Amino acid sequence: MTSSEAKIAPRRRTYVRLLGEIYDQLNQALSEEHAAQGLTQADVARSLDVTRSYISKKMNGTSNMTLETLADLAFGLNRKIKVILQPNIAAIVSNHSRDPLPMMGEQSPPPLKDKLPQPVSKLPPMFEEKLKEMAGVGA
Amino acid sequence: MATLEHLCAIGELEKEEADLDADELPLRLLYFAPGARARIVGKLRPLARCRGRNTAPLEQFEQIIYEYVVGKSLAYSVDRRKLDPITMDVWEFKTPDVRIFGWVPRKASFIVLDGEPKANLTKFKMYAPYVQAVVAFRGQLNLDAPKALGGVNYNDLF
Repeated sequence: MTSSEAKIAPRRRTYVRLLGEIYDQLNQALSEEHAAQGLTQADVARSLDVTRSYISKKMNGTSNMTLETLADLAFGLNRKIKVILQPNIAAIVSNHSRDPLPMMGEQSPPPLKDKLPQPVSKLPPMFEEKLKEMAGVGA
Repeated sequence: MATLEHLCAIGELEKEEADLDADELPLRLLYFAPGARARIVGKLRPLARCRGRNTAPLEQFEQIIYEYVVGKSLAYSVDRRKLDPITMDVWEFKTPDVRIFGWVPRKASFIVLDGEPKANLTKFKMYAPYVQAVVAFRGQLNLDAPKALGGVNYNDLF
């Protein structure tokens, strides 16, 4: 078996990574609050009216995480939760190589290559004269 | 004597290629002893998600490997560490249901020899065979000296 086999399926991986991010952020926040104002798991437990063991289990993943638990822990840590759904960078890269899709009811826009400046087949008269002058100088 | 890269080239180690997103870079290197990844996956795959957990043991294993490679925090406080020294410069990755054994050959590098469901390691003496196996494998590995970094200071090792 190579190291690329037996990994988590992409859909499930999204969930597992999200959980990992939540635990990382919660523990990071507690660590920062501890350094700033001495906040401990016991303090968080007191503010939520639960035991310290409950907080410990929630923060190290031995007891399951729900959205309500996450919100409670954020409250206990005096932190605000922000949810950001970022565009997938790989999708952005592939989308940039394609022409934009038409909006509903619109006709397809012309391909991007048609919008690019076309090669000049004939120079404007003033440039033609200048070129003739330069050719005369060189002769 | 050889470098980690050379040992990978001759098949004495297998470099982990973590599944990273397009905006992520590997900040740490992780290697497996030959066959170690398959052995660990084989032990964990049959195990169902434990009661009260969000993820199954195999998912925890893959996630902690990913977090190590991508450079996530490994320690937040004395109480909360994902990687701990055991003895004889042998370390263990810790998830709620899995323990993974190996050592630190270079700063920001880790070699995994084996792993085990935590349920099979209920007493500290049960760690001894894994520690001995890591020390034995490290001893016979044709790696440039020093073969292991000592100490428990995270900033020195990771």
